[in-house]
Amino acid sequence: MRSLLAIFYLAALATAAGAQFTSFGKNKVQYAEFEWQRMESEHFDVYFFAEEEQLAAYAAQMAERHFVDLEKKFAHTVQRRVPLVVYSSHIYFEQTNIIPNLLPEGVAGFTEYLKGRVAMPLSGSYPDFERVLHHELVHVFTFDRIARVLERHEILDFRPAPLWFTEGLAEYWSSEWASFGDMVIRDALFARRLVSIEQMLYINGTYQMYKEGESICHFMADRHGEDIFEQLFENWWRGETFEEIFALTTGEPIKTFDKAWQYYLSKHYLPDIAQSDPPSELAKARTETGFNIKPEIARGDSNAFYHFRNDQGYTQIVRSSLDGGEAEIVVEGERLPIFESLHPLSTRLAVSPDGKSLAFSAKSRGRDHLYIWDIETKRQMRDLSFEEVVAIESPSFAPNGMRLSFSGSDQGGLTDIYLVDLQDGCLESISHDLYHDRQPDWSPDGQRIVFSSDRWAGGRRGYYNLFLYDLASEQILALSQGEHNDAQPRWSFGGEHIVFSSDRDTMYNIYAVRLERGPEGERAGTRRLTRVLTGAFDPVLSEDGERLFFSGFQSGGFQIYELEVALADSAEERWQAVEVARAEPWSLLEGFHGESQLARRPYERKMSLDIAQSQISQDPEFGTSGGIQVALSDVLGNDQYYFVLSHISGSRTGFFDGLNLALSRLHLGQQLNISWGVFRLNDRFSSRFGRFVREKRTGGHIGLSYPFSRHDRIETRLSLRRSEIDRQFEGRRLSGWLANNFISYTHDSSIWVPTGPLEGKRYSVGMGQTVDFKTSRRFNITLFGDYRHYFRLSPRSAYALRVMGRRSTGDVPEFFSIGGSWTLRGYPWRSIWGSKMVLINQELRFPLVDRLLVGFPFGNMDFGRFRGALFLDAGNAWNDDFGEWRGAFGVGVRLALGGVFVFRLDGARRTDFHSVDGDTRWDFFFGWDF
Amino acid sequence: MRGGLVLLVLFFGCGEKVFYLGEQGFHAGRDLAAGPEPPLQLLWERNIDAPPSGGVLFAGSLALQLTTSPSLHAFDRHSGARLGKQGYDEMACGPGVLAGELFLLGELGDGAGLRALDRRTLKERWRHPGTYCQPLAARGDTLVVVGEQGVIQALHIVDGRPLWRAELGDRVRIGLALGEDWVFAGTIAGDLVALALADGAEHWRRALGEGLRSRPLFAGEFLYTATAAGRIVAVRSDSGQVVWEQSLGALPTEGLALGAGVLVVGCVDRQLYGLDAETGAVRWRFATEGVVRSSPQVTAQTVYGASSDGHLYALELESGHLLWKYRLDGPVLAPVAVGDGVVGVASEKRTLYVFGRR
Repeated sequence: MRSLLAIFYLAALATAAGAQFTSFGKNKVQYAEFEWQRMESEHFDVYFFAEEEQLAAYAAQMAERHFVDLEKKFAHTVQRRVPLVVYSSHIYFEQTNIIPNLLPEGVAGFTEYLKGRVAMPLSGSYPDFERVLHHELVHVFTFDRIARVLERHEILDFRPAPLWFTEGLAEYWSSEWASFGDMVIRDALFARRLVSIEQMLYINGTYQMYKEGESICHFMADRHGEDIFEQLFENWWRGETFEEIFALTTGEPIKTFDKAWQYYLSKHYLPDIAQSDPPSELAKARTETGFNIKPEIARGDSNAFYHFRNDQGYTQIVRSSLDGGEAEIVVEGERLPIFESLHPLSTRLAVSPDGKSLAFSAKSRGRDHLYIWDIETKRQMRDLSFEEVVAIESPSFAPNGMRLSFSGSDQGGLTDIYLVDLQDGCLESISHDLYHDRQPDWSPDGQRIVFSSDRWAGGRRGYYNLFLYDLASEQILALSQGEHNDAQPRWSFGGEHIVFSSDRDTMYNIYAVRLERGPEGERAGTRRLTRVLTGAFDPVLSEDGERLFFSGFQSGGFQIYELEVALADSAEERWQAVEVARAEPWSLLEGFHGESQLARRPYERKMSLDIAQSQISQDPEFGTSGGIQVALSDVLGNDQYYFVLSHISGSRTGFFDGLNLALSRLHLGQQLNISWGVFRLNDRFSSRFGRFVREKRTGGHIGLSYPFSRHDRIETRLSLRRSEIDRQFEGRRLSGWLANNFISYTHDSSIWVPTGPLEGKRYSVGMGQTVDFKTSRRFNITLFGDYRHYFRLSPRSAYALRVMGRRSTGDVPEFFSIGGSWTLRGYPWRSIWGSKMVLINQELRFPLVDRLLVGFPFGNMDFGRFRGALFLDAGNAWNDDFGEWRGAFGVGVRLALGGVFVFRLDGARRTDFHSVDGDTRWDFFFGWDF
Repeated sequence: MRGGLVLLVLFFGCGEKVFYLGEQGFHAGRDLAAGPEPPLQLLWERNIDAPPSGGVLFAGSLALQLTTSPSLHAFDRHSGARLGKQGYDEMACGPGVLAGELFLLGELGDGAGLRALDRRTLKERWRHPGTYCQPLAARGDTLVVVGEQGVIQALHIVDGRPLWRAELGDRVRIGLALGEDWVFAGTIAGDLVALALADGAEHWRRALGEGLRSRPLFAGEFLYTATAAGRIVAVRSDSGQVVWEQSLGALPTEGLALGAGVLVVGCVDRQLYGLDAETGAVRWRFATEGVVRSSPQVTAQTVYGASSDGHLYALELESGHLLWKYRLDGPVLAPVAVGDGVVGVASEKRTLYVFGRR
């Protein structure tokens, strides 16, 4: 119960909630402040800021359209109003406080279940925004349908659907089966990585899970009828597991269905091997480990290529040699705190025409910047950012090296091709409209820019074609036409060809197009260069035009391949006329009511419940304790209130004496996070490494936290309280009006695996003091420092070092304790204490067993991700006399069970660094490595 | 007793012999003219302990409502006076049904089965094992039930003794209909099947392409049903020959209703449709504000339909014009029921409403 109440108080007294206020952890920084508004449609409250009003109107209209569609599919109406929060850029979306988690770039939107909110960004493409919205609304309906069915049958425990089913169904009902689905499933089949339904947990949350889930839902509908899903939901109350519900609904055990699905996939996909090959069979693999993508060739450098690489958990830019030498790191990338993301999936690199510099975009300080990087010195030459451009992708140099084109998104989310003059920084866009113009590439003669866009009739359905922008005439010409996706166009060095990736023949392959001017005008002849079974992307030709480099998808990852090509041969070409593109091929709200019919309201900070919970427990020392905790927040999560009420009924306390009451408010809507609160508490308290002290405290606090970036922040807090303190461990009672303040600086750039950090560093330093402000008596001054560094030794092993110290001086010093699994192993929990403390931990972390399948009479249990540790600890806590170092060394094993549940077992032998204790002491603990 | 008696109450005056009493829909034994015509007044409303399972059953002076808890609530149909409540331990599966002297209830759990209770004393008469979640049908001493696995069985109504058994070859999601000499059933594979009532021999089978989701509605020469995709189909009841089809494009209500040459069906596209029973042409459509899952009912001149928008609507059978509506306290999924002079409907907010004319 102590720990429970401690959690309550931490929540109530927190200077702010969320990861940014824990002792370590990366920050979610509110770089941009918005004037939020609300738009009302029949079923939705759309939250938006002024710059994205068009997006909000679109979102409201699309949401209503899909609501009607999903009503039919689910045979169900969601009765509540659905809050829909839209962001015009993923960069803004990442700042949301709706959920505390840091959002990776791969997250295209989410549905949160406490308040049923949907939050999602515009990624540049309105049709894609609509697809994601549809996807999220499937989640809204799924959750509501299950909840209502269970409620109808008075079943109180929620029975969630397995993730592969909810995501698979959302994919199935929000979009057509597309090339990426084929790519993932084919690859999984041919690489023997297809995961059965029973084993789906192993790929939980991955893209493969999404696509397998979607494939399963397709097969389910084919086998049992389109209404099978409605039947499953209707029967949700009848079974406790999905397998049970599926079996009683379809009459078929899920294992039988699973086998049938896999057989169907084999029959459907395996014959394709006769017509096409995996990338490794077709071309020469130029990279092998990790994730490698977006090759780039420098003029005059025929022996190497540049690309993004991620083999350590973060993205770097490297130069790989074609003669097999070691890859050279050109940009440390996301390992450097300045780069929050290099966007490797959505943007390309560009080498300047003289081969001396690289251009790339990276997210930093709340927006994308365009960096020019000196390849030789590996230093930054230019850092360009633009007031009107939030997101930047795919830079391309003009042939004179003095200008760059790139794809940029403004504050409203409109994505266009921009041209920037590197000499004067002058920026211009070639258009300013709703079409998603992307991946520009400047022609070698400097006269044209080729790009991919949805600015044609089929673009409304999400298809991209290629376009040419003529700089002289300022005309946009349609280079390709058809209901397929043409992407990543690149000119050959000589300007005769453009190579690009397209799914026009089902799978993404590489094509080449050449332009020819005839009597009937200009025309484009297209030919296919690859027949890849899975997918080929990011093509670029060598300077001599005889070798093609591309990213190929195989075995669940991307590598870079090299293929010899003969573009001068007489292969068949398909010809199309190059024509002036239509100025406005489609508009956003065709067939809808005018957006003016949607009511707009200013945003009101209405608080609603997040959590309400209660707990009663027994403590042998303090008697019975009971408590409730209530958390409230507004729709955007920017304002949060925590209220705690608990009572300790011990023999030594009267009713009011045992009453604990605390209220805290956090405001997270701006870069400076503010918290304040009031409290009246009577309990035992302890700092993280401190001694427990019994204290009655009544007062208030205010806290400020300012994150400079994702990695660094400074924070301070002041509390004023009336205290009665019983320091039982030293038999001392104190009372007074105490003012406590501290200031600290924290950095965290660590990179994690499920058991804990593996690379990077984190540190926190600070000081605080406590004084009795009525008597001006100084209780104590405390200094603290904690430094942790993780040196990666191999992709999955590391040497970890922690050095920490604390010192408290004054009339009433704080005491610190060490001992136990998390501090000094081999010694009892918090057994060594004093007003000064030092601790050094060294640990070698390495993989032990990746998967352990244990057979039991009732079935198999599958354990994964066992990791090992060798450690050496040293430390002490003391008052006046340091005494001697205490140490321990030993071995440990960790098993990641999910989240904070990392099982840790350490066997340690003590040492005083002169001799070694003969006994091995075992520490058992749940928690991440330090 | 698996469904142990929790509270015993006495029921009075349940005397009438019924030809078919299942979940609402067409039944040949009821006089269409007996239903009330709008405007109606709310006669009474009562709270029930859980959302309804099936529609309210009007029997003599009783109004009976089974809930998902499961409990059987009994009210005086005229005054709404609460006569009692019977609770069961096992989960009920599908609506409760009155047939002759029996009240029949499908139960789930380890001992899943069809329980036949004396409708006066609620004491168990017999029990037949299996999962029976679909409305059943009775004729004379023969009770015909269908299990989810597609097995149709005829039981003797007095003691539950099996008379014959037939396998449809596929699963069934909807209840049965009885003709003069035939049993009609539809499968999720889309087969509409006619079996002889006497011995279960298959008379004809018609593949309709998609899973059947509306209980067949027997109307003499014709038989009506609807598929999961919202295709309404009329076939000849003697041969299964398709007479007409009409695609409405959305999941239909489980029960269809027929009156004055108009076939009425509700859909999850929020609409109630009136089709010409002879041609299938859409004569009218009425838009509600919510998904229609509640099976509609008809009287001589009126359609009663409810929607998840929380309204009970009375529409003119001929034209679909709105005659009257009543705002309930919540969405309606259970079928509307029409009795002699009364209309009953239960909302998902656990309120049973009975309307009539004072």
